[in-house]
Amino acid sequence: MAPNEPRITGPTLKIIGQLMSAPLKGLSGADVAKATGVASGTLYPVLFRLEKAGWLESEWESVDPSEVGRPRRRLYRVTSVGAEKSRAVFREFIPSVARPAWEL
Amino acid sequence: MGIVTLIDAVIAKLVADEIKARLPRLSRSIIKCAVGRLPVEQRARYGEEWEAHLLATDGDLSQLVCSVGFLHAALRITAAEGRKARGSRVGAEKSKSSELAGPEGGITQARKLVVEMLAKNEAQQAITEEFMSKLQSAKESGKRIDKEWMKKQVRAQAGMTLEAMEQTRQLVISLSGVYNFDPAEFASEVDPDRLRDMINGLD
Repeated sequence: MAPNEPRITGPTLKIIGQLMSAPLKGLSGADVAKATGVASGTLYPVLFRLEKAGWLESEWESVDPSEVGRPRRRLYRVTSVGAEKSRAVFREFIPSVARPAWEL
Repeated sequence: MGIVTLIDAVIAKLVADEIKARLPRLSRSIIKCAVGRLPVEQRARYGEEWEAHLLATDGDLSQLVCSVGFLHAALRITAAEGRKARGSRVGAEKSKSSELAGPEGGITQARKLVVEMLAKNEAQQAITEEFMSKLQSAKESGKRIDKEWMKKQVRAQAGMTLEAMEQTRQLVISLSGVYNFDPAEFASEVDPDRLRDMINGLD
């Protein structure tokens, strides 16, 4: 494994899988946690590592916190590099019956 | 016997109400503590992001669990940043010392254990601080609460935190010798002097 490549674990696969099927604008950490059941203590280090490795990118949602009355959410998206690498990972780790829809 | 059961039930209800009232503040205190553990350049980002996550989480107890998770996340992110920084300095030497052990290797497990223990100690300190601040505000406002019970909680929590800190310190020293890592990497936010002052200041 190259030094900059993230370690692929069960939660990492779940998180990438969820983000691969996410809308274009991306998903917040809370959305990913709800959808995958991955706890916050595991989720954010994985997102951090994936972002550092260039598999994900993130940006603040475009709302004014004073208008919506809550802090802004950080939205995560899979990059094109991340998408390519994720597909390779899924091919390696998951048998065809359990592949995500975009792989079938 | 019946009266004792009734009193027990009333006290349990009061304690439950008290805990429920504190949970949201406690969750925010834990987030603050977690954000404080992050590298300076990451604090503003995760502070806002985790506040938003907490608000999107239903239920006080789930929020508390989630905020303890942030503490764990902060320690892991900080450790990852630390490893990265050291990695760029020492390059190949670093990869020999930790990564060759592999995901299931001893050093990975040792680090994981220490990080988990530190997170628990810090969460415990946050609970102690919460009890202490409630006790102080009750003293100042003259609010009628069972101060002796509160003091007992502060003493017990602070004592347990100090004991756990000592165990963690011993463990870090032992593991750092076995796995050749720097104990300073696992600096803790727990302040033993503050905890001792709390215990001494109660009487």
